[in-house]
Amino acid sequence: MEETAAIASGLVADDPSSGDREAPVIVAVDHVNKIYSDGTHALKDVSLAVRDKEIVAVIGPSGCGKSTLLRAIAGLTSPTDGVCRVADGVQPAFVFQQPTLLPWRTAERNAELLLRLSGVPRAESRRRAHEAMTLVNLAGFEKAYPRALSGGMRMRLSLARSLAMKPDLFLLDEPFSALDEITRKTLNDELARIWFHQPFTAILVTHNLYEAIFLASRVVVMSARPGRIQTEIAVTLPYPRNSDVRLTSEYVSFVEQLSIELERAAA
Amino acid sequence: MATTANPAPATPARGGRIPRGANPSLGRRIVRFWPAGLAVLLFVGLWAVLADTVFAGKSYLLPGPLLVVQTGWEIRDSVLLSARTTLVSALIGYAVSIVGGMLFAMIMAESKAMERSLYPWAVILQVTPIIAIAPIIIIWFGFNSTSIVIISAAIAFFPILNNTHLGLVSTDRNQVELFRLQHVGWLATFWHLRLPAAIPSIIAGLRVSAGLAVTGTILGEFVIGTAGSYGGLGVRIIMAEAVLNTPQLYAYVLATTLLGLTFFAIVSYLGYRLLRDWHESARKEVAD
Ligand SMILES: Nc1ncnc2c1ncn2[C@@H]1O[C@H](COP(=O)(O)OP(=O)(O)OP(=O)(O)O)[C@@H](O)[C@H]1O
Ligand SMILES: [Mg+2]
Repeated sequence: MEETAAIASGLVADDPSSGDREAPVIVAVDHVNKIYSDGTHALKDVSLAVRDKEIVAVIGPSGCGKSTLLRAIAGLTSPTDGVCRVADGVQPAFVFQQPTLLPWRTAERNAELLLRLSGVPRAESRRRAHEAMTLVNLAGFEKAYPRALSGGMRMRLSLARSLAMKPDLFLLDEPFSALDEITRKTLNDELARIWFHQPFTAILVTHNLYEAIFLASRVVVMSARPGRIQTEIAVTLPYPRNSDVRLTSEYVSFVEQLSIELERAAA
Repeated sequence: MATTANPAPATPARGGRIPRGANPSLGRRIVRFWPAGLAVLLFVGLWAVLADTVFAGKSYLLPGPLLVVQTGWEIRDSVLLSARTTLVSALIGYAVSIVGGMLFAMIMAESKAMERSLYPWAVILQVTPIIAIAPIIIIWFGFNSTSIVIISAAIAFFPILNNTHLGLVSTDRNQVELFRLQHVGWLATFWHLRLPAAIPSIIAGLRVSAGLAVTGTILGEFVIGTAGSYGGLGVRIIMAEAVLNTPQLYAYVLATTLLGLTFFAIVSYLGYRLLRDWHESARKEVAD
């Protein structure tokens, strides 16, 4: 296992772990620094390349710049120097750390929001919204307003809103952190299943080691103050991954390895 | 809260259904409204007792509630006609203040430069007593109902401007970014995000201004008078005072109060209808 814990400092395009070396790079983060106007050095010399259909997990202590990294990739904030590029024609779907629902819209109208805004006809939007809500286990709550949903349900709705878009690139900022363990596992399984049948590229920010190992093909470990990439772990578990994977000894040892790296990053 | 003393079981919400607390039973209505009803009864009772004791035989100082209602009934034609005049002016003044207030609020919300140059003037308008600039308004527009409407609109203007502006600039940052990521245009963002997000705040402004529009109309009628049509309640109040007919004076004041209350109640109800499904301010305290 040691050799897989390759330290990744430069561009990771030729990283041995990515399943398909030839796949096009969808996201390229190149020597990015981000210093906020109040002087906070949120990202320091961060480089990362994410290839097509890859799920890369980003893990690290609170405040190490994970959200900042995602926001820079989405173009919501510009790096102080360095560049973030997303391949042409790729429209990222962002799932925020907070549900960010529109409280005056019912659940189904929230789920179809992005589709409607991008001009998809009403009937098709509605159909895809319902599909996505079923995927995240929210069928039956179409007419409920967000205030009548629990925190976890709101987060699932927020996820459904992005799923309905069937985007090529998912930027997920701790989408499952507000969920209970069982729902989280169910959604992890669900996401792994969706990915296997209809692969997408994703960057998943998480605080959960198990989730990172289960979903990702690579895990990037960040350390804080200033936020930088400490190390990277290639998760060579086979696909398709379902809940049985969690019982294998490989899975457990990946989790242990990540745990050790994370402790080093926090130190 | 008084209602907690008598907790009514909430209707259980089934999967996805929202408890609305619609059609509360008569009993529950009584539970909800008895504190307000009791306060009104106490007030009227105290008024009646005072009029019958301390002010006995001095109805020119304080006529009792019964006398006021009787007088009001006797002059009901005049009350209704003058109330109608006041109502029309107040409605037009209110409409003008809504259109003007929201328009300026939108302009200010769009551009910081506009905000910096316009907001001080709005504040100046707000802090200058309208009664002091009423003569200027009259010089410009004459002794007519236009001036009355303008005075009413000027008084109702600021809360609408201020609250609409506050609502429009307080849109949640993540929500704005959600729209930005989708490359949504200005108009669609305004229509689907910024305006609905501002509605609770706009309604707060509309509620304050509803009463102010009536107050402003009465003020205008005080200063301007009959202005061609049948004189409004403000005119009647001045005339009743001039002849020291206190019971009539009270009857017209009562009518004014009722008019203002009705205005406020209608706006509040419409606002509640808009918000009840999704906004925290419109949660039913008993039903939930
Ligand atoms: N708009 C901002 N202005 C100034 N500083 C900011 C801003 N946003 C984030 N920061 C700072 O940048 C650092 C990284 O923040 P970021 O939100 O990216 O952390 P994070 O890794 O996502 O943390 P968490 O796991 O708690 O979500 C923090 O120290 C934070 O205080
Ligand atoms: Mg974060």
